[in-house]
Amino acid sequence: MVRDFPLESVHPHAFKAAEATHCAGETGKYWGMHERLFAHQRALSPADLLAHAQALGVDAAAVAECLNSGRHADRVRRGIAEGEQAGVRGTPTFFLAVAEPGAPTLRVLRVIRGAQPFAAFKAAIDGALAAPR
Amino acid sequence: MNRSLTAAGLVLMGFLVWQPAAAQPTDELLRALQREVETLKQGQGALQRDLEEIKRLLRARQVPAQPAPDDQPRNLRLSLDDSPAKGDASARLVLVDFTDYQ
Repeated sequence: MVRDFPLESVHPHAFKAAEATHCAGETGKYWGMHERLFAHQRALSPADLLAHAQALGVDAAAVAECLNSGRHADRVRRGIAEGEQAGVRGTPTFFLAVAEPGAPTLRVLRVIRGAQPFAAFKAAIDGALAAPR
Repeated sequence: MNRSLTAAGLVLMGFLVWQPAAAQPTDELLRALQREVETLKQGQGALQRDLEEIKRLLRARQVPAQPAPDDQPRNLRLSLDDSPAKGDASARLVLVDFTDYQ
């Protein structure tokens, strides 16, 4: 599950880039945009964002309108707020969590900070699966 | 006065007599020293081997870097919302990725 945590102070285009993934998501292209922006981390200016959308077959004018409206900004801000509350200091930060029955919440089991090797994730997940429920 | 001079002379003579013996150690003394050096060398070799063994054991104990236990959150909850997600929506375990594109 992806939460946006743009580091606005050091990455001026990061916030709009996060919004743009949700704008692309309006036409079912969230994951395509997500992957494309990761692959082009140095080309995230407002014009670049529209070009990326267009390259994925998303109407650039619709994305421009979406970005101008800022209708996904709240969602991005919620990600930042929740991340800060959860002690996220940099990206990526992963939380391995377990769904709580009957509640819209996740109980965090472990945090994995930074781009760690697959083995770190496997160890955390195997540990969580082995633990008593 | 005379007696103390005699005593000093005797001490001096004794010193002169003794010194050549110390300056030219006997073969026996040399062998003893050699044996002592050999023993010391062996002891040092054993220490070296022990150190290597300790180093090897320490290296074997090193595990992949894990966050310190106190870095792990306690009683932390995240919201389960409509954030983009992959996989089984009813899965028990969820990996939440806080991400940034730039």
